[in-house]
Amino acid sequence: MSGRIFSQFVLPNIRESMIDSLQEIRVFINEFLPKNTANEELGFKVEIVITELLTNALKHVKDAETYIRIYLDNNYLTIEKTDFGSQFNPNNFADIFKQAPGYKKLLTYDELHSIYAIVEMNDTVRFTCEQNNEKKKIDINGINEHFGMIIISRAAEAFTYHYDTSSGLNRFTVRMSLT
Amino acid sequence: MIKIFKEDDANLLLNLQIKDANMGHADHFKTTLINLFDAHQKKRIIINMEEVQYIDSSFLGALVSALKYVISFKSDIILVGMRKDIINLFSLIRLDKVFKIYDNFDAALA
Repeated sequence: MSGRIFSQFVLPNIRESMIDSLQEIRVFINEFLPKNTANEELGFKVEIVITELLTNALKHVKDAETYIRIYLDNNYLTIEKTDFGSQFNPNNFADIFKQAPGYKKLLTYDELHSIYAIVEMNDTVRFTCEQNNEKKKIDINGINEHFGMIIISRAAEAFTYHYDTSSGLNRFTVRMSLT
Repeated sequence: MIKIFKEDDANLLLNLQIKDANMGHADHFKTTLINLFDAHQKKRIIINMEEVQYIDSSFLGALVSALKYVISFKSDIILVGMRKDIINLFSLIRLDKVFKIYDNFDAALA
């Protein structure tokens, strides 16, 4: 990955230690980002994206450490989460890697959003979030109660997942604009 | 975690007394809120969130789940006193279309 590395955090996948890990990352973000309104908003977004990545790690990564790396290149902040746990595969998600680049699969749908996975080159999948029912009245009972993927994909300019079959590395990458 | 601030004929006003509204609190929050709702004649709930510095997806899920329960009794949950960045988060994931959000208790009751 290009760009200057700012920091790396190694996080044990234990629920109790996640709060401490997050605090450590918060301190780093607060020190790193200059204090002005735009960056306070960005700081909050960065914080919640990392929280949701870690929550995802707690749910899906067993017995493996998670690494969070934060990069800056030009006007973008990139957050990368990697681990050598099992391949990310909720609801047989990993089958999507059998498809050709450009293939688009609906992952979740509710009254508010649809989340799609789109196959890219080199065993990478990009997640996108589209709004549903923009003009219709929302039915509360049709709303999904899982917001992690929605938060990340709505907060990010790009949100991707890569699985390296030879090494068993899972890599989630979130790219956010600094402007 | 949740303290009753005031109660009138139609409304139950609550203060949420946590800074980090995260996955560690989500289940307990939902259970406590629903128990309060059931124990107070299923009145409309107004939650003051001004102490909350941060909220994650698990807590948002608990809020939505509680709202589904409350709405099934034709009541409602209103949120007040939220930080600007938390309101921005609600807006980002469109939960501002689902919850009524006001600046404070007085504005919610007006």
